[in-house]
Amino acid sequence: MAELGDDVVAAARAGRADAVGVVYTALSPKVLGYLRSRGVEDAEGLTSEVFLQVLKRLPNLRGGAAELRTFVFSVAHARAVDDIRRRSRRPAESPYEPERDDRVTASAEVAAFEDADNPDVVNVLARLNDDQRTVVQLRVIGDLSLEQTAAVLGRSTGAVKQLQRRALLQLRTLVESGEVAL
Amino acid sequence: MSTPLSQMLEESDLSLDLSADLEPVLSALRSLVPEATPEPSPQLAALLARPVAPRAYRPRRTAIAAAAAMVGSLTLTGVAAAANQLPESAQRFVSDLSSRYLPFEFPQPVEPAPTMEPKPPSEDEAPLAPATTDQPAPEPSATIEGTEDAKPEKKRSGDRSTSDASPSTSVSPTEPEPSPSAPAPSGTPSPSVTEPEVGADEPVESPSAGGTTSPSASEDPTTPGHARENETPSTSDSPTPTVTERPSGSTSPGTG
Repeated sequence: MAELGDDVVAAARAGRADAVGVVYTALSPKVLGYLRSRGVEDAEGLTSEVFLQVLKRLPNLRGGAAELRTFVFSVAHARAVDDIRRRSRRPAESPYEPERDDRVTASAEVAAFEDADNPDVVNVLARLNDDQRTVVQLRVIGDLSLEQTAAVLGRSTGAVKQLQRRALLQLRTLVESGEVAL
Repeated sequence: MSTPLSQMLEESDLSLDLSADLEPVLSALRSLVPEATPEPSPQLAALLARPVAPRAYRPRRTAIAAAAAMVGSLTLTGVAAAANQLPESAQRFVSDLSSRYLPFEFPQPVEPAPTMEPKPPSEDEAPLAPATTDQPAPEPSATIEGTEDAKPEKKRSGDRSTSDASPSTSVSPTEPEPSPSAPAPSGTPSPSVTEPEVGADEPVESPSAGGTTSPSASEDPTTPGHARENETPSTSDSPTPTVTERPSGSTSPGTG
């Protein structure tokens, strides 16, 4: 996987096509994984939309690789939330399946997890609340720091640290209890 | 490189012993990240081939509007200064500025004429002589050209010649014009003062232009100093007084 440095970001900001390609190669798999973990319906298509928005605003961005990574995942997070909300307002039409009608689905996002590629992981994450789940996803999949995660979520670093702590403790409880098996 | 679990545990003040339980979960989560780069959409592929060029510098509209406003205000100020229509202080400032730094100069503001407020009418006020020479002077008095009319008007552009004229030039009590018909008697300090004791042959100066006759002069006008004190400077346009002869019958002040 390509490494993203400040010099590459500066070249991409200047409009060099090779540098822009490096940016896409370095970040698009993580964005796709994040969108998949969020249960987005069309993760590949939404990844392209995220980078369309990012590349259009790239010349006006300031900072280096860390700032660009934060911005990319901010856009991805916002698009994922929009996708989940859109689906919750207009759920996709599908034939009725009685076995899935448990009537305990908390949200469209949780329902989307059931369609994910790795249902086991998704089932584990579904046991966390939304904030805890997002923190873990951004830190593990997006490889963001505490500060970057806080910037994406619009929260303080301390709040993100507390969310991360509770998420890890919850995951450990779930594993120890045997409720999830990976 | 994903964030190591040990780092997350340290940040959360949790024991590293938890890593054994949590590592499988986080590894499964990392497996959601594909190894290959996802295929971009056609629109994104076109953008990747030809990225957005950095926007060239363009002055913003606000800067343009501010510059236009500044140029406009400077132009208006210059036109007003050239026409000497600015307020006095502003005109002086612009004129000084142009004389120092510009190749041309704006006119200096017109200096205001010295304000000469007329004295309020009092008993000491000298009456005005009649304008016509046919009418006899009602009383011997120091006739000073129109007291009320002598109030200097407000400064106007181009009035400097008249405004600068000192009151002593409009009424020349100390420097009478020599007239063959009415020679000033020798020894008279001022021709504007008529002394009734001298007689009817004494000339009485009266302005040729306007002025009302005030027959009441209660004070003794015979003292030249007194008359001179009552003189009111005039800035009227008729600096040359006319000389009239006092009728022989007028001996008592205030009559006639």
